[in-house]
Amino acid sequence: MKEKGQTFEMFGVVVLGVALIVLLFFLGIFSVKGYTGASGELTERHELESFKAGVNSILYTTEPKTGKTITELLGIASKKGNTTIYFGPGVGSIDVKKELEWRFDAIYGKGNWYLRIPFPNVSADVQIVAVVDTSASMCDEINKLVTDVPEILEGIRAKGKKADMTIFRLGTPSCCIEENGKLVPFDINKAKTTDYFHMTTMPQTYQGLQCKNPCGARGSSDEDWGAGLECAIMMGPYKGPGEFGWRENVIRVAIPISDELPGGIECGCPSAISRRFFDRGMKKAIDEEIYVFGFRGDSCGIANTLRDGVCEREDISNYGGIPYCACSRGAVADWMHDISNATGGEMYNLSYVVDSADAIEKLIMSIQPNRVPYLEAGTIPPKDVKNMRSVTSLLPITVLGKYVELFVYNWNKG
Amino acid sequence: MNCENKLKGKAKGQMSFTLKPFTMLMIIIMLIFLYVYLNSNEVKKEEAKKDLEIRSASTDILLLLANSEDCLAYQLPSGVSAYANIIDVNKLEEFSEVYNGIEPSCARNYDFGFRVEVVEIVMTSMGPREAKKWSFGVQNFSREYHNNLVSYWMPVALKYSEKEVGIGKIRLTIFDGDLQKVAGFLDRSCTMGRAGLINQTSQAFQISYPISYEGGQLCIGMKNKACRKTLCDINMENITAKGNYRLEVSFERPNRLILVT
Repeated sequence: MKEKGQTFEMFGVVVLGVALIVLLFFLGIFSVKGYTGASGELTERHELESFKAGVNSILYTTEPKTGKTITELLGIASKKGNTTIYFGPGVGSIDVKKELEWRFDAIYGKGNWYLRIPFPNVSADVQIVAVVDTSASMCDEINKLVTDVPEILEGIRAKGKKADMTIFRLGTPSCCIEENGKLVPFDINKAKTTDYFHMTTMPQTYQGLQCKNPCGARGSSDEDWGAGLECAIMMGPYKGPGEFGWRENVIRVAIPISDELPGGIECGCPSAISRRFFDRGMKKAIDEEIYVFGFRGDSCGIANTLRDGVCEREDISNYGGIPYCACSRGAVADWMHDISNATGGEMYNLSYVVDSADAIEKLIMSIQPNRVPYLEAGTIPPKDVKNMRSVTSLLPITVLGKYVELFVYNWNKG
Repeated sequence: MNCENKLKGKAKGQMSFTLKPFTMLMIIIMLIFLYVYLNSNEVKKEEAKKDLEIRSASTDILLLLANSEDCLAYQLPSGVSAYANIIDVNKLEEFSEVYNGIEPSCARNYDFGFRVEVVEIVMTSMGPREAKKWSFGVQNFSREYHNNLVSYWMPVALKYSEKEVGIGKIRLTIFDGDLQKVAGFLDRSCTMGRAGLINQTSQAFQISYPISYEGGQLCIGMKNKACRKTLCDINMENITAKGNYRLEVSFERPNRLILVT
């Protein structure tokens, strides 16, 4: 019995010792683990804070040409819905996305970050300049425009869409309109103007440029909607007595309204001359990012002309052997189509008189600012990424009095 | 029967005679094992604690440098507040001149030494490149004489003027060691002496390498010495052997510390 007792006694001591060692071993591991774990957490915390601080630092840096901070540029880009901002001829265009990318790449490395800013929905005002051919064949369309468009604009504004229009007429129409079944001389000066609808005569020259040119000796300067378009875009809509100019942050639209080629003499004018006037207008529209909606008149059929104070009905389809009708449906339509397509607009065929005013309403209601929905930069995060850090900041858009959210993500490769 | 009982009793006595010393031996082995284990565990724990302390200090120093108007943060002309994480380049120029070889007082940590490097990043035709560099803090630190070294960086905005703000990185290298501890003690004593708070103080140190004061700098080591600046001039006898020392200092105006071991 004593022998067994001694064996158990020794065995008990060994078990106790082993248990004590195991207990201390684990206690030791956990106490060290506490420090190493805290150390790891501290490092991760530091990296997160450093990432947040980095995003704020980048947003505060300035773009050298404009002196504007990245936050300001992002605010403007959000307002415009475009990541490229044009700051005029002195500065040129600034690509905000590129400005962000090189900074983030330099700090966090290529492929280690991703950024997204959803742009707000902004409904921009519409400003229209219309350049109107005032030859007799356009008499009815002009009459319809000046009669109906002011009311259309009021109606559109009542629906919450803000638009205004300035008509630059290339001459003074000498034609007649039908009133109560009778032809009476059309006096454009009696046309009503409102706060949002203005009419003015295109000057002969503007900033040294000829705004109204005939095609050679036989053409007519009141049909030069090419050079006229260039001058109208440069001048901009009516602002006040003797003042013209475009407002900031609006959708800018130009409408040439004609049934003839710039400078006249339907399709018999040496094409290079008409084309030169046309190209001036198109280039200006493209350079200034103006939407052009070409309104092609139809010079087929009867026109009401005014000669020596007498109204006459004349078939102008092939007047004096000149193929007005064929030209308006051929080259004029083609050119109007070309300029509309090149600038993001659309051509309207004015087959009927009422079409001109209706087309104005349709385009104002349908035109949307050319906006991108968001700015996205960097690399889309890989699916298996570990320890991703993220920051959400608010960016002010001061001109709108709004904020947009900026989401930035950062991770370590591998 | 008696004879049988006698034989049994003898066997039991022999067993007890063998088992007791064996048990004792086992207990001694276990105790030795426990002592060694606990000791090594304590060392590991101490190392982990030091690592945690140095990391924590480095985060504090970086934040102070980039956010305090006493350090590098850009301060509004009105002087009311400072911008966080936006570094005033004028202050940076000043710091790299004034604090060449010593840590700036606005972010001084008396337990560790550190060095700061700020790098400007600019866009070139070849892509983003590091351009101008500024540095301050301890310039010369030898790996031989420090126990821990941690390096952290953080992006910062560099403000040149109201209309010109660039991007850069601030990189902090923080380390500990005998030289940094002694220098920290001396600098703290100097600061307090200058402020008229304490004229005499002492602290115990375990020193592993010789420490001397040469050419206005506190140095450690025999041949490949690592030296650093101190705030006050030091009047001391060189510490030539490793060991435990109690350093006693007294401050003398305007800028001198008398060090006695």
